[in-house]
Amino acid sequence: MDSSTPATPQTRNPKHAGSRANEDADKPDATPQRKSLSKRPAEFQVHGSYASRVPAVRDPKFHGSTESKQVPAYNNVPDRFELFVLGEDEKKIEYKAVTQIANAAEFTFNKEDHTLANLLRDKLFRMDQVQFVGYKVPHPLFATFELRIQTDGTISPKDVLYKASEELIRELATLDQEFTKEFELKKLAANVPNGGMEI
Amino acid sequence: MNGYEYSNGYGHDPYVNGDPLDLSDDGPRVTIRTLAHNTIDFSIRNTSLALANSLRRAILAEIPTIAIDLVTITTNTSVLADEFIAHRLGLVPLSAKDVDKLQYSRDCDNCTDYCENCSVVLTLDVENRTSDEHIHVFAKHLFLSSQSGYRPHNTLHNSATTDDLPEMGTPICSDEDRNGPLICKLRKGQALKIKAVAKKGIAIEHAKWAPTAAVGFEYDPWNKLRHTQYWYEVDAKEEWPAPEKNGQMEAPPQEGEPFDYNAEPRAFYYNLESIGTMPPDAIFHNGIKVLQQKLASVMTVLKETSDPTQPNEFDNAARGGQSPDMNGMGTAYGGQSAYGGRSAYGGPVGGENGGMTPGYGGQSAYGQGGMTPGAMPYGSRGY
Repeated sequence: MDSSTPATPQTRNPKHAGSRANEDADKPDATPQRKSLSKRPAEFQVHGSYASRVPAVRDPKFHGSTESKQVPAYNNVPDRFELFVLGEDEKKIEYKAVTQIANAAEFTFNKEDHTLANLLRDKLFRMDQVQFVGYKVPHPLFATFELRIQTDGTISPKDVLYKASEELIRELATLDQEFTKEFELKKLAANVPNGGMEI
Repeated sequence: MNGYEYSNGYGHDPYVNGDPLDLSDDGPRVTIRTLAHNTIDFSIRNTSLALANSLRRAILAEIPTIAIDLVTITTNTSVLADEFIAHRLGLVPLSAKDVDKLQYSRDCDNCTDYCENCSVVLTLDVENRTSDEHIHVFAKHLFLSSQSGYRPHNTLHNSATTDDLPEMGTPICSDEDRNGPLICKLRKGQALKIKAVAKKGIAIEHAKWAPTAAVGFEYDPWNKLRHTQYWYEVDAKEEWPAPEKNGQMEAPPQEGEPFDYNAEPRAFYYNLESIGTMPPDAIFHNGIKVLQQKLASVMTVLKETSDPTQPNEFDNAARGGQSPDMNGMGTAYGGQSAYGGRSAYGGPVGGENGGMTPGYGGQSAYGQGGMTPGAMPYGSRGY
């Protein structure tokens, strides 16, 4: 039935399974209803046949968007915000204990990059209780890094990571204070006319 | 003063500019060399290269600002295409005053598309009706729709310090004539009428959200650490210019000085230049805040994943008799962390347990002895 569809372009009314069933109610045909060509994903379109010339997914770039936010199937460029916005069901940090070695664990950070990774790695490196620390970015196209920590047993990798983060926050706060101090100092000096200030 | 640590234990010279009595043990030190209304030239001492670099990266890429992100074009009879003009509008610098109070559009609960809580609406309506000369459409022709066409005159920034930024979303016009960037030119009869929605974002997503024009960064100007090797034809010393600015801050190497293989980079020279959307000191503070927020989220996630109701399965099984892992600190380490539920920059990390922890800097009351599994010191933790 569907193979001999008339020459008019397919309508784009989404046909629910229910309405489709009604159509066939009075046609006890044994042939299984072929899935409408317009319902196939773009890459499986049959070319050459008139009925399928109208693509199922209308690329908003060429046809204008009549539906909201329907992504064409052949666009593989990820959104830039995927570099820092966690996906659904994605956790910020995943933990995996390393089985072969005692007190060793690998943390997978999602939607993070060298900015955080190197900072943590360096801080952990300088702690005595840490025997091994290293990180890698498995692939530059994906915003993820793996941080591997091995301790001497007096503290767990999780705890030492926690401690390192804490100390870093403190160090940054000190830096902030020092900058503010110096800035206020220079500001006072600048308020003196021609106090060596450039504009 | 040397920019690197001595390995033989001499330590470095006392910090010249600051009050010598003020020197606490370690911790970073800052010296500001020049202060201008959009530039700060400063150096940081006594930190690690990793922290200096991470700070630089955060400042360049992750400070939230506001920029036009959605353009509705009512009329465009100019010679430039719609999307061309929309792209240019995105790059117009907008004042980022109080932008931390603005929601991200994607996080805003108040609306589906955009609203007052997560965006600023600007309009531009210029038509060249009668003039034979081309009308130049500048950023100054963009008006916040909340102000209905009126904008107070942008005051000249006389000092690097005054935060007299105009209202959030106002285009920044730092040229002499206070015009702002040129958007478009209109011949007689051409018009441009648009509505633009500016949203909060960071430079990772698009460079239009970058608050900095540039961040100069250098360390070890005399290459005493041998982190680089100068290419030369005959003699590197003669062919390469001496480091003028930052080289004065550190002692040049002596002739027969042996290479110090234990030295580490210790002084870092920054030249932070702002675009004008936020003052350069605000950029620095926001950069630090961004890093602190990242670290705080690490701490929060780590804390959350150690469930106090169960024996901590992640820790070494040999320490199985330990108390349940509270805040990640109930280990043989002794729970002596100064963690009292507070992070250094203010409020309690994760926003929980802030008022109930046993005191900042003290030993946690439950870290000492064993505690019966299942006991929950904070009462109900589920919420």
